[in-house]
Amino acid sequence: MANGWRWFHQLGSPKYLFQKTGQWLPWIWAATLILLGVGLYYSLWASPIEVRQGQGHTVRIMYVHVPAAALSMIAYIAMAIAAIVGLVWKMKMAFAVVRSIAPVGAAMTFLALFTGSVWGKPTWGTWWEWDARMTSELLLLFLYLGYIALHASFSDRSKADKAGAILAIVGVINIPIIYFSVKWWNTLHQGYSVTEKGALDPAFQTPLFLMLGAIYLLFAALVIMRLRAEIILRNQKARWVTEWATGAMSKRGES
Amino acid sequence: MSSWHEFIFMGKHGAYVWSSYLMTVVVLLGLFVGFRMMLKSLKKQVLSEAAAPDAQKQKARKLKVSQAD
Repeated sequence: MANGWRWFHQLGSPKYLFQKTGQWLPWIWAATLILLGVGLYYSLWASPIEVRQGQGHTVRIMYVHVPAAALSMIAYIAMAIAAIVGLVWKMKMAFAVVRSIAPVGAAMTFLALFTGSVWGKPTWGTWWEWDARMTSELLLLFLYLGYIALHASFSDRSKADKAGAILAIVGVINIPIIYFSVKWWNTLHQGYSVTEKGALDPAFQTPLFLMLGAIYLLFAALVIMRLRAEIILRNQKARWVTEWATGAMSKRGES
Repeated sequence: MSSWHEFIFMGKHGAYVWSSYLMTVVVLLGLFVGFRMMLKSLKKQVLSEAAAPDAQKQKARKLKVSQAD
């Protein structure tokens, strides 16, 4: 436990966080590419088509739609947790994490909406319906964009961090609304298929779980990339940043 | 999947399936390239700052102290 706490405190140091993420990143990318390769092979080629509901090949859209939608919600929860850590422990790096998750989370939300819309046309006969699931997911996109806009509107970074953190925490109320919307309201969107047993045929599970793993890792890699840029942005005047830029750090084997 | 023809046209839903995957690739690749460029340009900025002679460096802002009446 004591070690856990020390590690947590070390992560609060920009230099330590920058170095550690630099060490992790190649491994995360390697795992991402392997999983993505296998996942795409299964989802686009080696998996069967859906016949019971007559969806045919459109079922393949699920393998990007479900991971994107799941991540859009998980990313927001992660953002809110980081925001709480930042506000409670006054940890500046936690705010950097919040800011780094936002664009990637927004991209995932957009992709969930886009692929959902494209999937909806051939299966439901409409691109868009104002049902609870879609409306609340659209609201999530606006929350991400709102956070980014709010953060950009302050010239003082610590004020921007705090205001943004509060928006991130308040907005988390939307997550259970999205998740339970298919249960609470009569939506056009179907109910649970991943978390409910027997709802998804095992033949569709292999590609789906592979793609879930791949896109989760890809998400982590992108957030870390954005975080490393954010760390440099916030510490341009620090001596270790100059050392990193001139390459003095890698010569000592620290990068 | 039984043939390349089926793979490309995805039954009659090729446009739907491929546009979903294409948009995903475009958006995620865009983020990747954007974040890479961001870190690179920051590095350049730090380097040019470090290379500037001391006299040209921006001085630390002085604290403003309001005069007592």
